[in-house]
Amino acid sequence: MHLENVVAVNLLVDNMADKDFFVHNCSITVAEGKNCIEHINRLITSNIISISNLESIDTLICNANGRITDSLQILRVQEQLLLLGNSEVAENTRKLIVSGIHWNEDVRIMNGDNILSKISIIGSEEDLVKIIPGEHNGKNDNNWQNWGENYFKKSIHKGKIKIDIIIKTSEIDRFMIDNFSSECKKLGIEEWVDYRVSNGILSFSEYKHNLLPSELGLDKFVDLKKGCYPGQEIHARLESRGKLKKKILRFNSDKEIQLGKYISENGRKVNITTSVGNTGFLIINELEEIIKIDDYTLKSDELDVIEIS
Amino acid sequence: MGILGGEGFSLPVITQTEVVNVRITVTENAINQMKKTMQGDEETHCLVISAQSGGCSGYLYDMKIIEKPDAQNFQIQSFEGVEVYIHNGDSSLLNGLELDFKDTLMGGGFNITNPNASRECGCGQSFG
Repeated sequence: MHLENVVAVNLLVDNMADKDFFVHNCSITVAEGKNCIEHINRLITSNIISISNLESIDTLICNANGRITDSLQILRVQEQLLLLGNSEVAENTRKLIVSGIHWNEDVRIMNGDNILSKISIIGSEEDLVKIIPGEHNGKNDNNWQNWGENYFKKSIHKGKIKIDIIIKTSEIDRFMIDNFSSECKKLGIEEWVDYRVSNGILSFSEYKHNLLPSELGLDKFVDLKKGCYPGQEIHARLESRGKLKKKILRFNSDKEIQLGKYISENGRKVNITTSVGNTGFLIINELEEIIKIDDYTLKSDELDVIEIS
Repeated sequence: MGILGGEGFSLPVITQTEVVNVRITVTENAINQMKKTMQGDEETHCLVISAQSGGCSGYLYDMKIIEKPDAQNFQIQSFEGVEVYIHNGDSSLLNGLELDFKDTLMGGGFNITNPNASRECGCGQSFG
């Protein structure tokens, strides 16, 4: 299968300006107290016990059946943890975090929604490296860095740089004007979705379908050696002798297809989880390169990069 | 100074508010075992039963015999002189539980039956 066939008609991404930014609709929770790392570590699929200052770790929260209920990007800032999750399930996730605090542990959980925000700036390396503070090479930076009062992290996708910034919501406009004048265009949701499809970045549109991490290609965010966490038994069993029932693929169709569940001509169950323009993500119960659904033809391909947002 | 520091910057703290009146039952075997373990320290020590997040099913039981903590925020029940403390924060998760003790070589020890648990891990330490 050839990925080029799938991404070549990603028109919205091709039409993006030199520098664009997107304001994420994510939830932000802050955990603090001397036991906050141990407490959060008991709930998630990754191991954050050794997380260092300004390091971030992407992880998942699963239920006892091993199904994803939320994804988190966890950033340590000195003695605090910033938990960036999905706004659609923020209330449930916070309830889960708060209800499991041990009476004798020092953990406080705070709600940063609407006060803190995450934005992503996308542009060419030569444009953006001149603006962001510090020295940067052409590689992804694993650690976050200070940008004034804010924190930023650089990643590279297909020759373009994406800079994620955590910033006070009230400061976004001023920050953008101070650093980018009016050169940076604010992306709409469709353009952002197109960007993330093109770059293999998953979101709650994919997580909300009651899936296992491996079905979404997210095994790298699951650490089976860390000890018990909700869902660990299921994940361990799947790894040792399981067979995946579903798989996520990127598709390119001959015309725009609506979200929803379909049966292909070959009788495969197909769930279109994200669709923008003629491309998107689908979940299928058996691999098929060319999927015919009614009068649609979808070319599919496995994702080369899978991140969580 | 980072984004989370500075004067006048604070975020709303989320607290758990659901507190119920806790009633638990403790079997004769469990009371005898607690007395045996406490070795006459019942005046100064107590058993704290609590829950914390984690384990395969969502929450983990924790049981400790410790010096009696500040009684504020705890609900206390006495069983033949042995006091069992349950924190208000755990009250909705642990209300109604039965504590038993099995003196067997395999699978023995304290055993909790919790009516609030919709599922339990095979090892008996985790529930959800």
